[in-house]
Amino acid sequence: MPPATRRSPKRPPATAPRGEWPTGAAPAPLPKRRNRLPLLLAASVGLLVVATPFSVLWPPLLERLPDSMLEREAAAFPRDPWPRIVLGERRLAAGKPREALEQFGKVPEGTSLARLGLDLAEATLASGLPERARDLAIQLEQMAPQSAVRHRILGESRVAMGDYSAGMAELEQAVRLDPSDPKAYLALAQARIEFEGPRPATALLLEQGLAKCPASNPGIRYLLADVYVMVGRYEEAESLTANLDREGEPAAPPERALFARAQFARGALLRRFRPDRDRRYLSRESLETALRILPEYPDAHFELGMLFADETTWRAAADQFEMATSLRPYAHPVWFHLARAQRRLGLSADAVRSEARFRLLVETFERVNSENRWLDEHPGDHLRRLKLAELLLNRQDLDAAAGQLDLLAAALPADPRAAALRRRLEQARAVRGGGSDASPR
Amino acid sequence: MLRLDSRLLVSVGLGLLAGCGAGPPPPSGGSPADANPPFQFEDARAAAGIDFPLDFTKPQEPGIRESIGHGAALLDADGDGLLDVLLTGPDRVALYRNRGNWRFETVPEAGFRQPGFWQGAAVGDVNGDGKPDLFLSGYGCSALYLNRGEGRFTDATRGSGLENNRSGSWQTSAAFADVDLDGRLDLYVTRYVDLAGKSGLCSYLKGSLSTACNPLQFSPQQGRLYRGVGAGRFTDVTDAMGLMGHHGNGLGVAFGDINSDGYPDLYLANDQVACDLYLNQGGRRFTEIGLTSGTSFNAEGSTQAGMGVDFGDYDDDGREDLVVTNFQREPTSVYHNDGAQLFTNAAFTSHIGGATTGGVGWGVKWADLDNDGRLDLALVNGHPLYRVHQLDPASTERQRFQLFRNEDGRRFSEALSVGPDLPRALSGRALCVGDLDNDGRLDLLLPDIGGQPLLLRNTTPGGRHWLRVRLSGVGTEGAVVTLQAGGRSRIRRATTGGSYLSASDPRVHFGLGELSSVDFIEVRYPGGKRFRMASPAVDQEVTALAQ
Repeated sequence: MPPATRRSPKRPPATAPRGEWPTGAAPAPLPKRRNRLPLLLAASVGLLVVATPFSVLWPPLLERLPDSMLEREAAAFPRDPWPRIVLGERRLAAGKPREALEQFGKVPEGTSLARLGLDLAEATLASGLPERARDLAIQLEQMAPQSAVRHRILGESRVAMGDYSAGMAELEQAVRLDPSDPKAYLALAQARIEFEGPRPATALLLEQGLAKCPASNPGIRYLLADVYVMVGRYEEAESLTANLDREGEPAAPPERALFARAQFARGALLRRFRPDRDRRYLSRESLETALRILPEYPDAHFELGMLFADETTWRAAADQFEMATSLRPYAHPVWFHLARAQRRLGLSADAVRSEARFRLLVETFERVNSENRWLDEHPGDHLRRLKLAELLLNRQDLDAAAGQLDLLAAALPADPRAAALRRRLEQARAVRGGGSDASPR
Repeated sequence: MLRLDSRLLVSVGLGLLAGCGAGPPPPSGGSPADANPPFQFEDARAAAGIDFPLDFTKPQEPGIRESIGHGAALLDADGDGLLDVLLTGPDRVALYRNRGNWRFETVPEAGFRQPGFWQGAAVGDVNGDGKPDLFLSGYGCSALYLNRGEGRFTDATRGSGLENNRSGSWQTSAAFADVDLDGRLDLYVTRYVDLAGKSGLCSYLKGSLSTACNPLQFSPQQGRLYRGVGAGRFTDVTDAMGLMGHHGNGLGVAFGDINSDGYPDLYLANDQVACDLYLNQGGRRFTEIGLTSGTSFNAEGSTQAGMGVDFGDYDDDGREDLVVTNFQREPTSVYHNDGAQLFTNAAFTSHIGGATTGGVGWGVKWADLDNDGRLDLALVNGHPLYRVHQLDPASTERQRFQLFRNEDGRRFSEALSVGPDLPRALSGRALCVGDLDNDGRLDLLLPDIGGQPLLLRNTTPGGRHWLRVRLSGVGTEGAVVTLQAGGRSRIRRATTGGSYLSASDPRVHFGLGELSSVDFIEVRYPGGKRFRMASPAVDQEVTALAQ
């Protein structure tokens, strides 16, 4: 799953925390920056302009400088961390966390700024290293105990590691601490959807987020539209996505993913709610837009397949369903509809196979849910976790299986049963081509 | 400090420039159906003298048993040609005799046992005397009543084979059909879950809310098929007929004939597990084809909370289609019969699915409510969770019932206003359809488990023509009536079954729209007997006699 959103360079946290790095893995603290103001007052105006970093002279200007000037600024004042920080944040916002990490790595050693720490944690998380991001966020506790951003990163990291309860608690705290941060709403809503499916409470959360910080980040509106579709509130979803075609396509991958999600929502609602020829045409447009942005979006393939099935173009429907099953082989509804299309195409043997797969997934679906609930309440029950990992592997739910195996590896690093399952996982991933299910959900 | 404060100011400024405060766009306007309501009804209950209040929240917080609700039936108990009303409740069963002109009176001597948690009602002539008999189901109780005439019944449960004395046995809906075409009515009784002595009451919100448990917390119970052996006696043939493999959690049942072979097929609406469609193999055995036919799951291919069910040919292609109600946020499933034992879930393409995700659907019936010749759809909603708004602020226990007008045989539009103060919100469960005043317009009975029932008199204007067929004699349940008029034919099944915990008018009603003449009607009785009547006059009831 791609990350939800990343920090905007124009909007640093309202409660930007400050303080010292905690001891441990963090860089050793440097002496505090010397206050150069008395010297500057004594110097000439020309010297002041030439010899003073923007970060001191006029901090807001620094945020607006183009990258090239920031690079020059960083070269001219190698002891000033701010140009590198701003450059890194820009890379992060552009969905390039590794480049961001490179920039943060060039910040003078020993810089002790909570903002930098949070940036590092965020970029680490976005680079797909949730465990490291969690550790960084924990190290920042003393420096920024009430930082909403820190709680959010901690929450997102824990969710990414499969620890949903603890993760969602952190994300709830992040929303409480900064009710105007759209990223916290998005992260919490996405975690809830992954954990318990679409619920009215999630729609309510996003509605609150939309009211508190509506226009600064359309991501909340995009995700809310998708949730509305998932809970059958089509009329409201239609209102939220009415002008989607006139909205620019975001550039950064996380925002693009949410935009694709909104396009999917629009496509789905137009197919499901008062469909007619025109609306089906528009539905197809939206779904194809979603798939252009995210070609491996199983929900969009499924919905497009359903659209073709509504039009009884069974071959096209089957193609879309097959694509969806290859991307998300554990989703039983897709197998159901693939079998249906195969029956219409006279492919009885294929239909029987699809139905068998469907039956297996349906029969194990509720067990996966109940095992997840049990393990959430009893995280130390490693035997049950092993069984759940095996069940998930049987269902071809590789990402979820990997999450359980990661937790087992941390608790039982030398367990041979877990190691055997890990080998099965790697083999299955190799067969599938190494990717995850690539779903925005 | 200067640096951070400055950045904060900048961020605030940028935030203001970006513009806050634009909330979500207003919802779009109502349906065009608003402007010209196709149906008109008025609640005639109070003036009719029917007084049957229910309060499922008393005497204690309602658990799953109470949330399932109570049933109703429309039957001509006294043979006077007018449909009477039967209502069930906790420790209460009441018959209201229809005295005409929308006046009803109670029949205290009807002969019903009162103690029991009565829920479902099914109507059929089980002893072949031409009078409608009655089967009542419930939690730990059941009853078979033989009709003695004059609105009086004899309790024939003991020795009938339909006893339900086990306290935990939970019978819900029931339906009669002659599944083996031997001339005797058989009975299918759905069963729900095994509470195993528990209350069915669960705690939510850290104990601050007690309400119905999820049925998946309990073991499913299996429904039973009882073969009628005559004189009001039955034998359990569930195993012998191949019906043991079904999924349980049964709430709704209906018989139809999906392949037009004359043998009634069976659909079971199951709650949160796969629903079952059983194909009748020549009256000897049933085969489950739910998955392969496409009728076990909802429009998205997931299990659904199957509640009510009804067969009806809504597109007049000669094949019976299916409708299954289910939970909030799940579209009501409309299974179009494509032939060859394949169905397409037309929930969304029919426009019914998109309009039914806001309520929890229960009783449902196909019925031509405006006499335009096409089957419309009536369904009743109500959330099963007491104080559900505490769990889901967007939900309420009481939800409005819905009427859908069949526009062209493919698409439906919801009538958002159907009369003064209608559609009214209620804690609906059962739903019955019948012409209570014989004026040629189908009326509705909607019990409310949180109040008085709605007795909806159909006052839809338009003066459209109609024809009603009363089937006289023995073995009429499940007969199929074909009407040919205006160059097209349509079929309707004579049945009291379908919906949820309910029994409806056994007579077959045809709306004719502007057609003032009919070429013929033909009745095909179970077993193959036929009755044909050429050019029957319209706007009247005709009687078909089995030959």
